[in-house]
Amino acid sequence: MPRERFKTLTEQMFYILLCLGRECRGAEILEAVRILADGRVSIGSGTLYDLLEQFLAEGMIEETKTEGRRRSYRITEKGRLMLEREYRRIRHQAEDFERLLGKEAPS
Amino acid sequence: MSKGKRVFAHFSFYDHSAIEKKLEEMAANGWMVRKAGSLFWTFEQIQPQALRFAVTYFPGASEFDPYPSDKQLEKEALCAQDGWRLVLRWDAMQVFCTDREDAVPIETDPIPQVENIHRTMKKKLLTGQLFTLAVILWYLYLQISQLRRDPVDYLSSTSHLFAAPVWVLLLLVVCLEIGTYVRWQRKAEQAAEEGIFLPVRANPWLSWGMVALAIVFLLLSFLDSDTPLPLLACIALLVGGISLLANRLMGWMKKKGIPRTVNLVVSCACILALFLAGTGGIAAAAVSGWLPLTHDSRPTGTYE
Repeated sequence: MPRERFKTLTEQMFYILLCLGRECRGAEILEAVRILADGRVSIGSGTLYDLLEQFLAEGMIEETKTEGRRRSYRITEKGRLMLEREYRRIRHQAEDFERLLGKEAPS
Repeated sequence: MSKGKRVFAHFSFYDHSAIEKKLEEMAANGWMVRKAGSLFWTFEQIQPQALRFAVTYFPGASEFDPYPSDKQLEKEALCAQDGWRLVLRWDAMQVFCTDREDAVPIETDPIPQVENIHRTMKKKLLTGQLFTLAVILWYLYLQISQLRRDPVDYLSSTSHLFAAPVWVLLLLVVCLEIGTYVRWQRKAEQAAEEGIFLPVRANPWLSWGMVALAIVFLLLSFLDSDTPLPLLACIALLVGGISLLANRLMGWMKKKGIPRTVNLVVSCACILALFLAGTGGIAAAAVSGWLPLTHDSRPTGTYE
C-alpha cells in the first residue's frame, strides 16, 4: 500500500524544500541543491518539475513571481513544519545510531 | 535532402526504457527520430553519434493540443537547462536527447515518475482501450446471439466461423494490454516506495502476433463470405477513408491553432457524419441495384 504522501520526505524532496527557504527560481534549484549537498544529491529536471507541482498542490510552497515561463517559489509555513518534522526524524535516527552503534555495541 | 525511413513501433507506450534503447541504437547507426505514431516512427539520416535519450510523460498533454501548454514548455525549459534537448512531442510523450555523458537523468525519483506514467495511462486506458473493449464485447455478443438464433446457419457458414476468432483474438489483445499494464503499475508503485523504478516487462510482439492472426482470420472470413466483393471493397474504402480523413482533419485543426476540446468534438462529429453518410450511400447504392448485396450465382437453399 503506498505510504501517505509526504509522511516522510525523500532526500530530493528535503533538499528542494531546504533551498526554498529563500525565494528561488525553479531553474536555480537544480544547481543550488548540487552545491548545498556538495554534489552528493542530484535532482533530475523532470523530477524537480513534478515535485514542485506536488508541493504547490499540497500548499508546501507558494509561487512568488512569474516572469514568462519562469516561476519563483518559496516555502510556506506548512512546508517549513514538514521540513522540521523530517529533520527531527533524521536527528532521532542519527541519535539512535550513535547510541547503539556509534560507541562499542554491548556484548 | 536527408534520407528518411519508417520503423515499425513495437513498443508499449509506457515502456520508456525500450523506446530510449531503440532511439540510442538508431542514433548510433545514423538515424534521428523526427515523428512518432501508433504504428510507425519516422527517422531522418544524421551523422552517427552516441546520444542518450530520455522519454518522459506529461499527463496534461493531448494529441489534440495545437500548442504545448505553458507548463509543458516550463518543464522542457528546465530539461534544456540541464543539457537535455527536446527532440519530439507526441501525445503525452516527450522525447529528449543529450550528447553529454554526465548529464543528470531527467527522472531521478521513481515515485513521481510512476505517478506520471499512471496518470497518462489512465487517460489512454479509459478513453482508448476500454472503449475498444466495449466495442469488441458488443460484436462478440452479436456473434453469440446469431449463433443462438440460428445455430445451423451460423455453424454451416465458414465466413461466420472465421469471423468469431477475430473478435476473440482482439478481446485477448485488449485484455492482455490492460492486464499487463495494471500488473506492472501495482508492482511499480511498491518498488518506487523502495526507491526503485521497476522495468516494464511488456511483450508487444505477442499482441501484434495476435492482431496479425486476427487479420488472417478476417481475410479468410471475407473470402468465403456471402457478401459480394464490390460491397466488401466499399466497406473497406469507407473505413479506411474515414480514418484517413479524420486524421488529416485533426492535423489541419492543430495547425490552425484550434483548441483541444473543439478539435476533439469536431473530429468525433466528422467521423460520425462521414460514417452515416458513407453507410447511407452504400445502402442507397444497394437498394438502387448499383451495388449487389448477395451473390446472384449462389443458390439460396432451405432446410427443414
